[in-house]
Formats: sequence, structure tokens, C-alpha cells
Amino acid sequence: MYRVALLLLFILMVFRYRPPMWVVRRVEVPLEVVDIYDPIEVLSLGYETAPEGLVLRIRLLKCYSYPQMNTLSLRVLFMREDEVVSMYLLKLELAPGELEDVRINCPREFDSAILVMYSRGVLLLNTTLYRGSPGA
Amino acid sequence: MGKLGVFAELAVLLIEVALGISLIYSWALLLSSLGITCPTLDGKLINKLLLIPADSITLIAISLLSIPSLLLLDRRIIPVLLVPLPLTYLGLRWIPLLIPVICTVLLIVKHRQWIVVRGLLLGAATVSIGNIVYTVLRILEFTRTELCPLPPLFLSLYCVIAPVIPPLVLLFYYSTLYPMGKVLLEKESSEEWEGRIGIPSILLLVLSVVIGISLWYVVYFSKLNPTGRFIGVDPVTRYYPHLIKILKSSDQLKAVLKIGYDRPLHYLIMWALAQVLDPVTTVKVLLLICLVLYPISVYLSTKVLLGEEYAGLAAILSSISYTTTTGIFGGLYSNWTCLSTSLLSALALKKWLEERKYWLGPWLLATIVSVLLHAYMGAVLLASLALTSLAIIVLKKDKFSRLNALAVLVITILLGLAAWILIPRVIVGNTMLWYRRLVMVIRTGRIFDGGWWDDFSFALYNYAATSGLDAVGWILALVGVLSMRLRRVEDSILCFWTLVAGGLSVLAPRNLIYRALFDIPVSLIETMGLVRIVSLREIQRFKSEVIAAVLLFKLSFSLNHVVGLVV
Repeated sequence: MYRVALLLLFILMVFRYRPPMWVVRRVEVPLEVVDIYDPIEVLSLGYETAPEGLVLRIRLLKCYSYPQMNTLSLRVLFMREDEVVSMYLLKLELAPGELEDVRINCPREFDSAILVMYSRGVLLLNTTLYRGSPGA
Repeated sequence: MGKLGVFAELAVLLIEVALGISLIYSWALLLSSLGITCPTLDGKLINKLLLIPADSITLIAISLLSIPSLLLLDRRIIPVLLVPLPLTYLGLRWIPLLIPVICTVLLIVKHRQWIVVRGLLLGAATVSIGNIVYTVLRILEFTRTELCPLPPLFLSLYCVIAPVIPPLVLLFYYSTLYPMGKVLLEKESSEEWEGRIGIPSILLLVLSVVIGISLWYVVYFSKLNPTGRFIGVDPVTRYYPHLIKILKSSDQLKAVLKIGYDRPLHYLIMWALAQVLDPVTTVKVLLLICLVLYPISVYLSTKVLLGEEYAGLAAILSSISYTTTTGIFGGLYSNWTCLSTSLLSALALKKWLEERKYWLGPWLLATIVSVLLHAYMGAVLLASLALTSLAIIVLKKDKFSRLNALAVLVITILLGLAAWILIPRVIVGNTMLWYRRLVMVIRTGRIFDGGWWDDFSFALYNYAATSGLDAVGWILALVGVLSMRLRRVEDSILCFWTLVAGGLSVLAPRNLIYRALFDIPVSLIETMGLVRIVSLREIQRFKSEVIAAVLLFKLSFSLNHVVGLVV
């Protein structure tokens, strides 16, 4: 009888338990498009319209390979007629298996963005994203 | 056993390992496709994605790993399962994943479930070894890309349990009521459990000390920490600044007692070390002392409390337990050293209660040393010992034990009063804090509600930064508590220790919950649980596999946590 009582009491104790939201967070990444042997995978890259204006959004995934390359340097140069109008230098710390969404507010006047990403002297990304292209 | 016998056994072993890996891979892929993440410490607290290769060739290779298991059943089924595999290239990628499942179902239906169980245990052990290799290479900055699917496979072993860890830990505390009810309302079984592991205990003790020294190397001397910065909370916020303050004082011994008022003996040891070492090295050596002293103390106490055959197992579990991971994270060196001497006090108490002889003196010495090493944890020890002696007075029938227990009760009360008078700031302060918490709970009835669970979850997921997610450890500890029999002195000591620390943890404010949890010598209770599990008749045939899987899982988990803390 006391076993049933103990069990019922425990059920009452855990009745209000809800796991913290971040613990049960789900992130679906289509594995077939990810090269998990790369140090960094750029899952998506493009402009999107947000309440604060035009935003450059980069979705990065740190794969489990090369865990010593967890510190990333990202440089974004916003250009207009071959002149730099705005520049961002970002240092990111990503752990293996971590997904990161980087959002950068774009200046009003620009026609392209040059993105360069390094880690430990290794070039991981070097691309130009023209305004108007929805994503890469 | 002839040569053929050895080869046949090896072949069966390999078949089982292959089946286990195949099942774990399919499981990880399922979790990955569902977007399940695992909370992990890796430089910071993050949710890790389970990223494993999902190309057609890998999937087919993984499914083929499960096929040989059918050789142990009926080889005629093999071609039937191989026929649909090429369809994978036409986009039917779920087909290879079904094959391990079909093999498992067939084995279970044909009453060969032991192959599946052994396969899963050996597969988990292999994945844990793979993760240990990956982590060691990471420490040496010599990573191999071929190994990168192994960490997510390891995470898949426990990530689904991660969201229910807080109720599991509460259940561990709460389960102490079960042996209490059993001793009062039922007849306790006197059956002895046999869980011999067949490895010399002293060898495991040496291994546990080696693990401790290796963890110290990882923390302070590996390439992960090239500058040798302090790792953990207290070395930065407490030990180093306090040591500098003491060394700059005109009267250093007075400063030791003033600054380290709540842990005078530990500060005295730190000051003595600082006479021969520089302050930075002194603080680093404090961690080494804990990492070496704790397994030795667990070994000695288990030898007396549970039996010599389990001492090595307990020692090795202690070096890869919650105590170690949280101890390094929090830098709780005084608490940790006190826990080590408290175990020696428990050892001497058992000797005194059962053999008497000359053990009162050593028990008294170990208890006083514990109180002086860390007054708060010493108070927890005194409370646990007082409850244990009370239980023995009530439960034991022989006059000899009851008189000894009465002596222990009187002495613990006197020691408690002495601590109350001599170290009032800690003992009185903490007592009043928990008293106010208790009164608040009684008045408002607010406990185990949403807010309480938020605090408790925060303590397990954030404060100790996922070191509490060692699901295997908590399950073993839970089984250990449930198998306790309070008429045995050793079980009484561990049960009341858990009850006191668990009770404090339940009532503690948010920032002290994990500290209270740290007060429990959890590795001894885990050892009890593991011994109980492997002594079950149904499990005995997998005894070696269970022990290997548990130890390798915990080693992998602890190493992962320490590396995640240092990077």
C-alpha cells in the first residue's frame, strides 16, 4: 500500500514539470544537403525584409570536423559602385554541432555585399551577394 | 576452449557489435531527421545538432552491418533483405534503415533477444570508445574528419532522456523514502547480491587515479588551455584572490582563519602549499588533490562499506561521476576535499558500530577534519550521521550496536553545537536560511509548482552546465537507493546522507540547489546500483557488457564535459 502511496505522491510532485523550452528545441536540417566533413557549412545566405529594414541573413552550421576551427572571422563589405559604404567585422565562436543565424542590418544604399569568412587562416567563404538576389 | 571456439566467440562478438552500431546509427538518424538536439557544454551551453552522414553508400553500409546477425538465426532470410537495398539509389532512403529494425524484430520473435541486448550494450560501448578517441584527438589538436560522426552518435545515446533529467534527480532523492517504508512495513530481505567484476580492484584504483591526473592535464596543460588560465568558478572568484589577500597580510595565519572562516583547514592547506609553490600553481594543485584524493577515499570507504570486490569499481566510477564534473565546473575544492574525508568518517563509523575496537578516535578525527575543511558540508555529514545513529537505535536489536549508536548520536550533537558556537556565520546562517525556506513552503504550500521546477531545472541544466545530464549515473543511483536495506549500517549512512542533502536541495534557493546535490557521495550509491543490476539473474549473462557500457559511457560523458568546459 505504501508503494502505491509513494508512487501517487511522486506523480503529484512531477505533475507540474515542464522541460525548459530551450532543452526541447528542435532544429531540422536536411542532412542530405550538408557535407558534414566540412568545418563550416553555410546552410543559407540571402537578404530578407524585416521590420528593421533589409537584413543580410547567414545560417551557419559548425560540423563536428575540425573542432579547433571553432572561432570564425566574418567580414562583410557592403559596396556601391565599387566603393565600400559599410563594413562589418564579426568574430563568432561556434561549437561542433551548433547552428547560428547571423543577421546584419544592410545600409540604405548598396548594390552588393562581399562576404569573406576565415578560421585559423583557412578561407571558408568568399562570395559576392548582389542586391535583389533572394538567396544563395 | 579450442582455437575454433575462440574464433567462433570472436565472430559472434563482432556480429553483435555490428548489429548494435547499426541500430544506434539508425536511431541517431531518426532523431536527427526529427530535429532533436542535445544540450551540451562546449565552450558555452548549446543545443547540439546530431549530424551524421546520410548518403546512400553510408546508409547501405550501415544496414549491411546488421545482416550478419541473421547468420545466428536463419541465413535464408539474408537474400530477401538484400534485394530491396538498390532502391536506396532511387530515393527510397528509409529502406536501409528498416533492415536493422527487421533483423532486431526477427531475433526477438525467435527468442534470441539476448543478441540484441548484447549488441546494443556493445554498440554503446563502441560508440563511447569512438567518442573518447575523437575527444582525445581534439585535446591533442589532431582531429580526423573520419571520426566526426562519432560524437553525434554518442549524443544520440542519451539526448532523449535529457528533458526528463530533473524529475529523475528528484526521484533519486525521493526514493530514499522507499527503503524507509520497507524497513518499517515489510520484512527486509537478507539476500546478498553478487556482482563480482573480475578485474583486480587495485588496478581499477590505479586507473581512476590516472584518469584524475589526465583530467588535470586536460584542464591546465593541454593545447585546449595554452595560457593555463583558471578553469571553474571558485578558483577565479574565491581561491586565487583570497590566497593573494592572505599572502599580502602582515599576519598570514590570522588572515587564513579570518578569510577562510567557513573552511579554515582547507585554507590552511592552501596557505601551506603556497609556501613552496607560486599562488597560481597552488590553486591548480588544489584540483589535483581533489582528483587524486577522492577516488582513493571512495576506494577505502567502499572496501569497508560495500566490500573489497566493489572498491575498484566505485573508485573508477568516482573519477567519472557528477562529483568530478561538477567539482571541476564549480571549482568546489573545499567541498570536494570535505566529501573525501566525510567518506573516511563513514568508514570509521561503520567499523565503530560493528567492531568497536579503536575506531571511535579515527571516526571523531575524520568528522572534525571534515567540519574544518568545509563547515557547511561538515554540518550535512553530522546531520546524516545523527539520523543514521537514530535509525540504528530504533532498528537494531543488539545492545552493543545501540549503545555505540547512542554514543555517536551524542557526539554528533555535541560537535554540531560546537560548530554552531565556533563558526556561527556559516552554521547559524545556513540553518536559518533553510528554516526560512521550510517555513515559507509550509505557509504558502508553494513547492513542486512551475516556479520550483524552473529553479530545479535551471540548477541541473545551467548552473552545473549539463554535468547533471549523466542519465546513466542517476539511473544507477536510483537503483542503488531502491536496493538499500536500512538494517545494514552502510545502507543507512548512504540513505540518510542522500535524504539530508536531497531535502536541502529541494528547499534550497536557486543558486544553492546544485551545491546541495554535490554533497551526496553519489559514486558509492551508483556502485550499489550497478552491483544490484548485474546481480539480477536475467542480467548476469551480460554482466561484463553492462559494466563495460556503463564505464565507457560515463568516461566519454565526463571527458566531453571537461573538454567542453576548457575550450
